[in-house]
Parts: sequence; C-alpha cells; structure tokens
Amino acid sequence: MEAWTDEQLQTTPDCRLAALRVPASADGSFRLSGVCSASGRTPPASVTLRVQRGATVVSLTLPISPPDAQMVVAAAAATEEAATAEAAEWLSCAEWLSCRSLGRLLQVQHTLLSLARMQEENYDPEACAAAAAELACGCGIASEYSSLLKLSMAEQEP
Amino acid sequence: MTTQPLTSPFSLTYGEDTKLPLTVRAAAFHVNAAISQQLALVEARLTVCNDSITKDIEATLRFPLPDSDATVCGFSVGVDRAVAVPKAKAAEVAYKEREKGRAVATAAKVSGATWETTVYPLPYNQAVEVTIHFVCNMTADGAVALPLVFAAPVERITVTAVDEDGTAGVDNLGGGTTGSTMPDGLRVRFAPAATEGCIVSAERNGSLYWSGRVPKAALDRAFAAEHATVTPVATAPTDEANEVHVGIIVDTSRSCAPIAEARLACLAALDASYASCGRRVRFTVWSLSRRTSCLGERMEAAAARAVLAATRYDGGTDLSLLGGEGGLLDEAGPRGKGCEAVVLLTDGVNNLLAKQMPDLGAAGVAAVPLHMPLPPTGLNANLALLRWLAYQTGGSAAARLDDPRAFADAVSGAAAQTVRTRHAPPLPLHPLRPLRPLRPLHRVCSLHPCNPLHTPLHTPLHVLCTSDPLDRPLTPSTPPSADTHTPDDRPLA
Repeated sequence: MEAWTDEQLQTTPDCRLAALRVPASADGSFRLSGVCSASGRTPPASVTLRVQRGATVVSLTLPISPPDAQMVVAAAAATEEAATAEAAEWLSCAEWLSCRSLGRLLQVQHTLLSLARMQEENYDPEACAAAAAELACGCGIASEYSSLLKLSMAEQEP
Repeated sequence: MTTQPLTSPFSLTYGEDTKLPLTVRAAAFHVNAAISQQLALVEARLTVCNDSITKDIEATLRFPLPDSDATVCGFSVGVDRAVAVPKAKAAEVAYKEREKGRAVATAAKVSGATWETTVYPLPYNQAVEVTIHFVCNMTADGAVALPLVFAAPVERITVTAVDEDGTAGVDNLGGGTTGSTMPDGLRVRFAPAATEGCIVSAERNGSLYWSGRVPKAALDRAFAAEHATVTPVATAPTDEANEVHVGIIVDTSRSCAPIAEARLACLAALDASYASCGRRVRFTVWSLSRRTSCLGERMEAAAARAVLAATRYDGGTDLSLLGGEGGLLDEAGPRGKGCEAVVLLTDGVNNLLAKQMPDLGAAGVAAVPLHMPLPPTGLNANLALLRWLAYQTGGSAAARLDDPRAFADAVSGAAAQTVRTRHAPPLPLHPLRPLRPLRPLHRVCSLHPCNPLHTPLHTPLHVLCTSDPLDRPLTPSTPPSADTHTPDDRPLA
C-alpha cells in the first residue's frame, strides 16, 4: 500500500501495471531499474519478475545488493585519487566523487530506461517529449530531448 | 599478428576552415563499471592547451564514444560545468549568448557515436581541463572499448578502473603511458561478475537507485528448471480446457476499408496458430465505429470470417467506446464474455482525437490483453495510440498486419518469445504521500514488500486498485490467483 502511494517510487518497467508485455532485448536479456527515496527506514531487498516464454511462466526473485558495501568500496577507491591536487582543483571533492560514482551510473541508466518506456506509455508525442525533456534535464544528460549547455558567468543562467 | 591502427574521429581544432590542431598535454581516464549490468561510467579528463594562437580562442572538440547508445552525462571546461536544458532552449540560449559575445558551449551528437562541443575560452599557453562523462554498454566479454586515438602524442596518459565490487580493471596501457597517441584506443577489461541476475543499488542525491540485468543464460536455466518440475498431465485435456475464446473488435470506419482483406487473413492465421498449439479457437466479434454491436458469439473461424467479410465499412470511429464500465473491453473481459485475449483491428485514427480516448482505468476493462496488428506501411494510422493501448493492457502492438502469422503467433503464444509479464518491486518504506497522476491509468498491481514490519521478505503482496488511485480507495486483496509468485519464487543468484 505504501509503495503504491509513494510517488517517489518509480520502476522501469512500471510495477503499477497489472500486466506487462516487455520483450527481451536483442541479446535475450532483461533490464530493469528503479528509484525511491533513500531516507526510508529499510532499503529494498529484492524484486520479483514474472517471465513468460511460450506457454511457460516462471517467477524470478532477484536480490538487491545493499548500497552500503558498494559505496564504501567506491569511496575508498575514489578517495585515493581525490587526494591528488589536480582533482581538488577541478571540482570540490564531494562533487567530483558524485559525478563518477556508481550512484550516478545507476541514475543515468534508470533515466535512459525510463525515457524508452515513456514513448510507449504516452500516446501524445508532444506530451511524451515534454515529459522526457524534463526527465533528461533532471538527470543532467544529453539526449534526444536535451542538450548540455556550458555557461561561464552567473548572469548567463539559462 | 599486427593490428590495424584505429582511425579515430577525435579532434581538437581551432578555426572553421583551417582546423588547426591544438595540443592535448595530458589525459586521464577513469572507468567505473557495473559488471553485472554490463554498464560503465567513463570519465575522460583532457588537459588541453592553446599553444598556437596568441589570444583567447574557441576550440572545437570532437570526441568518439564507444557506440551510438552511449550517453554523455557530464561536461565541464575548467570549473564551469554544463547543465542540461531542453534542446530548443539550449539553441536559443546559445544563440543569444553568442550575440552578446559571451562564452557558451553546447554538446551535440553529430554523427552516430561522435560528440562535438566547443571549448571556450582557451587562453594562450594556459592549460585548461576539459572533462566528459558518459555511460556506455560494456562488450560481451566484459570490457569497455573507447576508440580514441590522439592526433599527436600526449605527454601523460593515466587510466584507472574499478568495478562495483572494488576490483580494479586491467587496461591496454598498463595503467598509463607517456608520449603516446593511444594507437589502439583504450580498452579496459574486468573480471566476469561472480553472480548474474543480481541487482545493484546505490544512493545519490537522497535517492536510492537500483538496476538489474537478467542475462539470457539465467532465463534459460529458469525455464529449464520449470520444465523439469512440470508433471505430465495424466489425462487428456477436456474439450472445454482445450478451447480458447478470443474477442475480435473490428473498427468498421471508412478509413479501415483498405485493410479489410488483410483482416480476413489475420483471422485465418489466428485459427491456424492456435491449432498449431493444439487448441481450438472460438471468436466473438464486435464491430466498432461510432457505435458498437456484437456480430456473433463463440463462432468457429469460418463463421467469423463470413461475418467479417460481410461487414460494411463506413462512418467514423469513437475509440472511447472501448473503455469504461460497460464498454467493449469490459464486455469482452471476465465480467462479460470471458475472452482470453482480445484482438483489436483498427488504425487508431479517432475522429475527435484525445477527446474520445478510451478509459482503461475502469474496473475490469483491462483485464485481458489487447493485441493489435499494426496497419500496413503507408496507411494512415496512429501507432502511438495502438502501442499505448497494448502497453496499458499487457498486450502487443509490434507485428504488422502484413505478416498475420507472426501476429497470430504472438497472440496464441506459439512464438516462443521471452516476455516479462509482471514486475513486482520491493516496497520502499515511506509515510503515505498524495499520489500525482503520472500516467492515465493505474490498475491492479502486485507489490513485493520488503518491510519486515509488514510481511516477510520474498512474500508478494497483491494490491488491487480499481481505476485511478487518486479518486478511489485502495482495496488490499489476498493473493488468490494463479499469477501469485509464491509457489514458484526462487532466488536466481
């Protein structure tokens, strides 16, 4: 119930639909992604998929590895480089780490899968383009709907 | 064996006509890979210098990406980081800023996997750092291959790579080199993932993201295990169990008249396809234009064909008659005729467009998958609407009417295509918030709570929500159907 009404929970494919029909990709694999607020009480632990091939249906429960371990490892590896002077000059350390983190990778991947999904779940191309542009800009990626714009002065705010 | 040197589209030049090459003094690459996802986030940091023109210049940077699916997700020049804006706005701002004579740069894809951007200002004899971040797919053997070859030797090149477990990757430069053009490009290889089908997660900006990839091998194993556990049926199936009831909704508007013959072929293909699965099909046929009528119930293929052939094509289309309580889909579903699947033969062209869209949010409306053959190429059709209908009902709108057997096999299940039919996510733990209408409808969902306060892990919770959750209360239900995951759930790792 809480998940159903939680607007911050988004998955691709959409978990709120009763029935899906998402074909496997060209290499025969399935991809999925999702996002929710990290300030919840307990992180999610698994995702269940139902997959059909011909008349056969199987359910797969995939464990979600907790983020803590990965973050520690990534942070440790990155901190070593962050100590270098040139990195410190380039950006503040926290920001720099954030740009190259696993979290950023997963954020971009979720956005890309969501952009692909949007084209199916919107029958109005204009509405789809507007929503996709908002999503792509929110993630900070260059896409079919968004561009990266570099400005140098404060008065150049787009 | 000698390898052919790469021809790279990388360039850093000044001037539109002369294309004067500029110096890249140093390059640093960092690869952050998620092996289980076959994804990598690559950072390329180039230290460039204008050592030719004695003034501030604007250089053009062309940067090759591993493939055209790669996505640039960050770009900065010195301390100035690019922001993402809608394409139209980016062009508008860039034009205005250039008119004012101020520095501005946009990054755009020029051809396939090559990205081009401008770098400004590049002062004379002053090193400037240009950084590009992009996300790309890894190759099947777990490597990241960047086809980047510098035009001139670069003084210092460094490479670092790490996967999600913290294991370092191995690159073809041995971690770095000096005075090289990287003639073979950059290739970073990682050890294969220990577990497949695992979902990785990480936090960023207060959100928890997760991503999963189930490889074909894991799916094959799961299906093989399922086949091994299925016990053979002792008795022959009854006629009733062997019979499948398919609803056919025929758009009889004038715009569909050119595809009337193809529809007859589609009906025959459905009959043949179900027969190949050992099932006998019965058709209930409705006509749909500005009004609806049932043309016959539970007919054999020949009778359905006769009915369809006698149909007169005239008038317009009101697709809103499909949805809503008492609409055609409701009538075809479990609350009405009990069709197992519904085939909608339409071009999706609606008289009043969005004002007559079907309401699929009503109870029982989208209980059966809606399959639509796409009209032949060249015929005016609203494909986006057809795909939307299929998406919302778990049906299909991929095969064309030109290939009726392929469409029929997708409907009957004769095609052994692997499809995801349900996605049950973990239950995040949040206080209740008001829901905004993200999509036109939400219906029945199956949720997977991981909250120990609610139900044990790996026990799915089925929640029934009739129609728009904004307007109607949610009614939890017990998991009664054959769709429940409980008996078959198995960890994949």
